[in-house]
Amino acid sequence: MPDPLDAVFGALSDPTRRQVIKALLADGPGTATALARDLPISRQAVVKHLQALDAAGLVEGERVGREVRFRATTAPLTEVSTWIDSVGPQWDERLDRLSRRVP
Amino acid sequence: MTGTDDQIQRSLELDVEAGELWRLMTDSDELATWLGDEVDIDMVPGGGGRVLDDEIERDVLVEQVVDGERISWRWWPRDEPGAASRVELVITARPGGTRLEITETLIAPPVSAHARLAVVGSSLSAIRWDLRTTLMAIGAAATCLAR
Repeated sequence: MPDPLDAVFGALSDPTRRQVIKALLADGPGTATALARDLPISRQAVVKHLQALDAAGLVEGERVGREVRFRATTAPLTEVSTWIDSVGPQWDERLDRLSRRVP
Repeated sequence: MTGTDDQIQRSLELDVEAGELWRLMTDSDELATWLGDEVDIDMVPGGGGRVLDDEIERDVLVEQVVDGERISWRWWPRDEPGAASRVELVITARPGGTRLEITETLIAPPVSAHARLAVVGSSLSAIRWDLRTTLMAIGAAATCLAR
């Protein structure tokens, strides 16, 4: 099974996909057509990027009439904040051990 | 306690000589007394290793070793290779002892094959910067949603 965080970083490793998700975060939910209007890529390319972001759990689609409206989701990134929240206390403990180790 | 969204920094003043602190930073047996429960690192540039700490097993790749002054390595949890980060330890002398500065920075994934393919032909530093701003934007949105 692929690692979820790996999938998130994999999806975000593409600059165009980062543009897509930033646009969704800045302007709110949007369709592939609307995104293609604002970005220098075709609608077809936008759809492909949205599929990749969807697979990583970074966007969620909702059918609106004939089109699907996508919104950015933040759930997968809570793992990133978990990383940040856990790293500080880990070093505090290590440095505490080091202080006690040194005479 | 300082740092940014994807970086933490700590510093510690110790009453030991730089040479002794260097030994504590580089000898696996010494590292096992404070860095983790089990440590085995070949502390030379390009050297590998592993650290078991608090039931998390990390693989290590040593990047830089400046004798007596500075060490940096990249590590990632064995079961979460996308969560790689860089650790930098810097030793400076001060009257009566030494000062140790530690920085750990989340980095773009270096260890997964698909991510490696994705960065081919691009500037890694530009990607890292853009990734950082993207993560910050998403983090800010997450904070807003949590409120």
